[in-house]
Amino acid sequence: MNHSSYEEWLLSGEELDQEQSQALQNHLQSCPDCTNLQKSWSQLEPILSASTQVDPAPGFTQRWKDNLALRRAQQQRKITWRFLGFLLAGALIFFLALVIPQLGSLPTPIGSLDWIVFSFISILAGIGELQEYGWIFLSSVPLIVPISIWIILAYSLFSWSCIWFFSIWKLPALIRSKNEAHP
Amino acid sequence: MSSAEAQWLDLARKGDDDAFGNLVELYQRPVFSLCYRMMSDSGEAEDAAQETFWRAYQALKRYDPQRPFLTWLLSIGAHYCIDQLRKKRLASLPLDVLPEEAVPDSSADPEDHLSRVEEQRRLRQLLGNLGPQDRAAIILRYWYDLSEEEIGESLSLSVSAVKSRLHRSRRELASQWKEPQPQIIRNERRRHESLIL
Repeated sequence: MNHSSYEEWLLSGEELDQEQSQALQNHLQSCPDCTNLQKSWSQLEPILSASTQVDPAPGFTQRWKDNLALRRAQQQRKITWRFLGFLLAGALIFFLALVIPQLGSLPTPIGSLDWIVFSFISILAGIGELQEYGWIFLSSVPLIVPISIWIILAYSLFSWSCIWFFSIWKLPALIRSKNEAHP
Repeated sequence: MSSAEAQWLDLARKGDDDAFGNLVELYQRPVFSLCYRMMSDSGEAEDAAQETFWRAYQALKRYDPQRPFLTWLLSIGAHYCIDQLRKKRLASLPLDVLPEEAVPDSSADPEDHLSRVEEQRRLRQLLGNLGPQDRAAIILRYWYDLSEEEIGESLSLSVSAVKSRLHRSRRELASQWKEPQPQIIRNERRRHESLIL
């Protein structure tokens, strides 16, 4: 048997049969290294086994609860920002999809500037026209549409606004609870 | 596992935060002790124990009820501490960095108490010299009485790897333990005498 096998027997703490015990004793008599190892380990092992557990500072559970509330708020904020980022990215992609093909058709920077100024003026003019049509519509429609329809329309608009606000407010929490249910 | 504990666990898995709070209250001591033995600092141990419970809370749906809950918690804690130690490269700590640990004074003999304080201090120093995974294996074996199979499960190691790590750690601890440290003993005695005076 080699030296490391005896070390294994010394340190493993497993029960040895009579023959193994005898072989170990014989080896210990001729090996000072193993004798020292046995001596140290027999001192150390009871200290290891007898070591007590350590208590955390008082209020550990309360600190855990506070941490939980804090981390949840952080998670909710993260989800909200992600949602807003997603909306913003969508809007940006939509905007670029509209603008890039137009920019591609313009040959020079001066041409691009002309196009931007022209577009801006066109948009302003369009808004002005829309405003005019709007006033005509608003001044003529009340005479045609009965008051009950107006009430229904106003009520519907109000309901849709409530649903929209509720969705923005609660959607991140719903997504989070869904994620927790199916991680 | 007691019936109350099983009930808390069941409720916690259904999303009851108060029930999980009860489990935190119940297991704070073993989890904190593990983190303290691993990190050798009470502040870092507190953070690690809080993180352990947070990770357990998030992964509660994946917990296998066939497995002891404490072993599962200790597994999460050990992995977290090993990661932290690797990040900070704190595998070896100088003795004067290690904090004081309150050793219960059950004997009337101050010499005896002093000797036990010194033993614990030396033990912590030796543990600090072990690599993170070896340290975790020794702590789980001797402080929590886990079997080699359970340690393997907790540390994601094979049983033969656990055996080999335990053997190597025991050998290292024993070979360092035999070396006398008279200067440390003298310092400790001087500190104790100054406290008495």
